[in-house]
Formats: sequence, structure tokens, C-alpha cells
Amino acid sequence: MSDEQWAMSRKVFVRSMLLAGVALQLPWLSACSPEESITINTSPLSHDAYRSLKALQNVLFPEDGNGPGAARINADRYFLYVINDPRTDPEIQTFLLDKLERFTTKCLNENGLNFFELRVDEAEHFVESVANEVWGQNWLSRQLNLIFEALLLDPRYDVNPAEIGWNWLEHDPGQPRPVDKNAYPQILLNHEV
Amino acid sequence: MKYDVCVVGSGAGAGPVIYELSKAGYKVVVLEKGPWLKTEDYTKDEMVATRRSVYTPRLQDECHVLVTKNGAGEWERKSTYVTGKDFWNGNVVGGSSNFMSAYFHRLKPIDFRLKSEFGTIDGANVVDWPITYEELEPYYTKVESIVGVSGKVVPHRYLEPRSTTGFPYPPLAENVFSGWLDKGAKELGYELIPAPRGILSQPGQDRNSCFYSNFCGSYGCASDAKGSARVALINEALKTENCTIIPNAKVYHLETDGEGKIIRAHYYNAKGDKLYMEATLFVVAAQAIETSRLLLMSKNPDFPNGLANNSGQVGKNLVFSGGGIGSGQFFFEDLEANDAEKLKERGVFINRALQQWYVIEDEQLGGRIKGGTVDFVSEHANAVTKAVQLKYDSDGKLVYGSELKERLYNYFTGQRKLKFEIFVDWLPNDDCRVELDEEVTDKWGDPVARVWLGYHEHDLKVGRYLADKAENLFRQVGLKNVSSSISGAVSPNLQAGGCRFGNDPKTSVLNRNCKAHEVQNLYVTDGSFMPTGGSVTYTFTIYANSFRVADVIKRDPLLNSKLYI
Repeated sequence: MSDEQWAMSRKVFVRSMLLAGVALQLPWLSACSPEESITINTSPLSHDAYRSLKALQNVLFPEDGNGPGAARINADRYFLYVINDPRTDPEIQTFLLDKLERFTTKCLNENGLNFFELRVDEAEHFVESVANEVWGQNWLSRQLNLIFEALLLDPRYDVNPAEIGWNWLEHDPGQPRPVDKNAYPQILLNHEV
Repeated sequence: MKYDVCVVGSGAGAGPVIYELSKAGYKVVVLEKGPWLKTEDYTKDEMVATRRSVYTPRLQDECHVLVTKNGAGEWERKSTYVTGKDFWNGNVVGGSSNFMSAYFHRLKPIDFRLKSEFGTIDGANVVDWPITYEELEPYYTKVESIVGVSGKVVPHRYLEPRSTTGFPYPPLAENVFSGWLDKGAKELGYELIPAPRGILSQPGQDRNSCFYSNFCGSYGCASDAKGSARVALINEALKTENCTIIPNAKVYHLETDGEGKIIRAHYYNAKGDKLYMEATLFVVAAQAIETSRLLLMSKNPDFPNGLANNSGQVGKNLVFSGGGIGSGQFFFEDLEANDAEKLKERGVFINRALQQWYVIEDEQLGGRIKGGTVDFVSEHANAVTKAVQLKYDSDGKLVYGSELKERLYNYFTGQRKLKFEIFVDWLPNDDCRVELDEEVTDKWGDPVARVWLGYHEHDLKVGRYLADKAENLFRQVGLKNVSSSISGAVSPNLQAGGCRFGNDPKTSVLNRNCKAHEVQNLYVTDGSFMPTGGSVTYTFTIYANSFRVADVIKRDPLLNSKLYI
């Protein structure tokens, strides 16, 4: 089988999974509706910025029936963790936040609506336009890295719940797994770093 | 307290000295920049191992300045804090030996006389070593026994002379792919050999055998099977009660007495306090770049250009490993179900290498030239790293949404990627060196290392030759999408040189025993001594040479009156 044929057959397989997902009515169209109440501390994000972040993550990594979407792997909470982590480089945190503001402002200016208020097709179109700009591609690329971490890091970091990402991708994470004393950041604190 | 020996660093270059001198009864103190992580601290947590700076400094605290040529051929100077290209290795007790993959090939006799064997090459500063393979051979044997090397010695064209017939430990368990490579090599007339590893395949030395956890390189070993300096040597030294480890101790200056002798090593502790340590002898093994940096920072009226640098040689002729990498894929749908299941087996090793072209005799390449080694490996199991590679398509366009998820699913579940790594000599040259940067400082206010990364075009020619051979083998065994990349890009974990050893003080920093020509009580035992690096990874040779120098230090007149045994 050629590489192209192989890719096509996989596509057919994945498409069938997508349809199965629809049949199960998975919540893949909207991860965070305007009416949804927010029960977590989203600081330093406003509630609207947080809603836009969740909606963006849902475009980047949708609940489409093929594995978990961004919401199910807690990608939103992981983003908040990273931008509040005192050990993360402040320049990276600033980059993530500044560009999120640029993203939401651009959306308001161009669409007259918050990003999370856009229809799915409008949201996808807007993200595509952002991805075509240099700053946008760089920022979205980093957003994807955070989503990958939420998908594939150890569940102890409040991501990848019940190993859903590992199970989907048949990933064996190896042994031993981290415990309190040797997980990030405690391992550093224990050794005066 | 004044110690007999103060060792700066605790990795592969330091471990044998710490081990031998502690066992000989000398009081040894080790100043290690990083924390003292123990075996129970090492897990298979991708967050800790590679996604955050846990084993290495944060780049905002300490970075390098790298000088490379841009597309227009102009030199560009960039901070790694700006680019994000991390140039650190393991900054913990045991150094980067904790995180090595432990491919333990010896150098060959010709590696010690590269200039005599192959002549000069324009633009390269190739010299012969001041010692021979025969002088180092007993110490390779010692490493095999004490650190622990597993594998199988088979006769082949470039097998180096050995004083023992085999390795102390049998080969590690292998993936079915190793057998497929053997078959393909036979069909092509290739001389494929088992690759020795510094990993125990059976319990020994009070250590477990390998757990086959599937996470080796970049990860600390949870079984103690991997022969890190911490596990194999420092833990043994501690049993003598002659060894004191001081972690989180960053040495920034070696003070001399005005008569060519070091009297104190000044260091910062975890709180940033300035402290010092006194000793009779000092051994620096902070890894090549940091060793040169420390000597260059240790200026005083006697050494205005840096310690042991009145010759102007400190930092010069830094070398890395030339070559590159290649890969190919097996798609499970193309294989018999049974073969696919065997290929999926995780944790077990490939452990095959080619050294058939360690010397290349090909008129198209100008006759007889030095070749190198090809090691065959699995793709690293790091999941996030694999995913990150999939976010751009072949046109460099960002992929996201369902298309990205489909790519992830297909890659993780539908195929297995196998790789090869090529190691050729990095020809020493004037454009590959260490200096102190004049603008960028670390968190303590000290100048960071500015590293020039110039390479010689000859290295690419040799690398390409070997890559073509390896690609042929991959295609022969049925791998798809076979490709390779040969470039002058640097692997920072494979660094050596900067303080060459030699017989002439005008052209070398260290004498044949790795003692500084200009300083009475300074030895350098990491990879800095190497004038050329050979065509294999360096750790095995660094270990062996450090054992050799430890024997010399034991006979140093400065320590003679201190013998306790």
C-alpha cells in the first residue's frame, strides 16, 4: 500500500469515527456558550477573555468524535496554570496574554462580536485569517503546544483526565509515574532550586 | 576545612576522579552547580524531563550566546534566551551522564593519530593526540567493568584491540526490528554490529538491571541500570566517607596564590551567598563549554587572559559531533499482524551500529578519508515532542482542528518510526570556540559563554556518505519515507575540546596527563582535553580518560604526603 493510499484509508476510518461522535451527540460545536456560568478563578483573564480562549481552543482542538477535544482535557485550566506559574518565563506569559488580547480585540473590531459569540463557521474563518498573519501563527502554534501538553502530560497536572489522551493515542507513558515529591514544581522546591 | 582534592562538576569527567581518589583515602569535596537529585526523584514524567527546565537552568537566569552563520554567510550573535534554543545539558549531581542514551563505542587507534593517518585539511586544526589507544585501553576495560557495559563483541573490520574478549554484561533485550536490520544488512553485504551500551542487562554493582521503561535518553534512570556518574561512581565514593558533595554550588572563580597555584574555588550557594573552598589539588570537569568559561573568568595579574591561558588556547578548538540523523517508517497496515505486534513492543532496544565505513576509501571523495559510525535507534517515546512535530504540514502551514487530530491519531497508532544517527569527526577549526560574552550576563552578573559554532564543510561530505549507506539499509528492510538530514547543526550534549592536551604548552592547555601546563595543581578531566573527538559519542572516552588521570593524580607529589593507605 502506498503512503497516499494508507492516508486515504485512515481518513475513511477516522470519518466513520466522526459520524459515530455525532451520533453520540458529543458537545463539539460550542465549548463555552455566552450563557455558561464560570465557576473557576480565571485571573488574570476577564470572563469574556476566558470564554474566547475556550472557544479558540475548541476550534484548534475540537470535540469532533475523534478523541477528546480541548474542553475534555482541561486545556483551559492548563492555560491558566501556565500563565500563573511563577516559574514560567514572564516573557512567555506576557506573549500569551498580549496576543490573546490582540486576538479578541481584532475579533471585536472586525466582527462586532466577541469571539465566543461567533457561529462555528465564522469562528473557523476568523482563526484561519489570524493563522495567516505571522504573529497569529506564532501565537496559535504556542497555543497548540499547551493543548498537546494538556492532552499528553500526566493526569496529576489536572490535565489528560483518566488518561484519556494516552488511551486515545495508545501511548504508554512508562514507569515510574511522578508522585507529590518528584513532580513539577515540588521537585525544584525540595532541592532549593 | 581544607580538602585534598576539590572537584568542580560531578558528571562523567568528574566521576572516576571522585571514585578513585575517595577510595584511595583522599578527602574529596565536590562542588556541583545543580541540585542533588537521587534515583527516587527520577520518574518518566515528560513535564519534568523535557517540558520545563528542571534538570537545566532556566534560560532567563542563565543562557548562552551562540554565534552562527546566516544564509548570507554573515556571523550572527544570538542569545539562547531570545531564540529559545536551550544549550544546557544536565545540571545536577552526576551531570548529563544521568540523561545519556549510553551508546558506548570505544575510539579506534586511528582516532589518536588523525593527522598522521589522514594528513592536514585546509581550514582544520587537526593534531595527533599525545597518548595512544594502547595507553587508554586498560581504562576502557575498567569502565566496562565498573560503570558496566552490556553488549556483544563481534569481529569486524574496525574492531579496536581489546584486552578482554567480551563485555561484562550480555546484550540488552532487542526489538524484532534488530533482526530485520541484520537480514537486510546481510543482503547488502553490510557489516552490521551489535551496539554496546552503558546499561546493565543483569543486576550487578549493587544496581538493578534495566526495567525497559521505554524512556532512556533525556530521562534519569529509575532502575540504576544506566551507568551515570552519580549511580556508578559517586554513590560508591560516598560509601568511603571520604567524599563530600555540595550541590547548588556554582563555582565562578579559581583564585591563585601568585605562584601558579590555585588556593581557593569561589562559589555561590543556593541563596546566592559567596563562599569558597580550599584544597591541595583542583580538578575541573564542568563540561567543555563551562570549563573554558570558568578558566576564562578566573583572571588575575598572573593570568590576565584567564587561568592557564597565557598561551591563548583556552576555549579554542571546541568540537561537537558532526553528522546528522535519518528516519523511515513502518505502517502497521503494510505488515503481517504478528510482525506489527512485535514491532510495537516498547522498551526493548534496537542496538545495532555500522562502523564499516569508519575509514572511507572512495576516489569520488578524494581517496582515503576518515569516516564514522551509524547507530540505529527508535524514535524517542516523548509524546508531547511527537505531537509538536505534527502541527505543521509539509508546506510549513499550521495545521489545527480535526485535520490535526487525524494526523495525531494516524501517527501515534498507525506507524512506527525508526531512526539512525550519524557520528563523524567535527573538525576543529578557528570558528568553533568559547569566549566570554561582553554584554550578556547570568543571574549572578557574570559573563555568559559566547560559543562560536563554525563547522567544516568536509564534515558534511563524510556525513552524507554515511547517510546514503544507512538509507540504503532502511529501504532494504522495507521502511517507507526514508530520508536523512546532514548539516552543521550542533548537538549541545556532544561537546568536547576547548582545553586541548598536548606536549607543547604553546599550542595546548593541558599536558598529556591533563594537568594544566601553567598551573601547578589544576587538572581538567571532562571532554575539554580532546583535540579531536573521534566518530562516536564521547562519554565512554571521557570516563576512560578520567580513570587514567585519576591514577596520575594519585601519584602527584602534592598529594604524596597525604596518603592514608
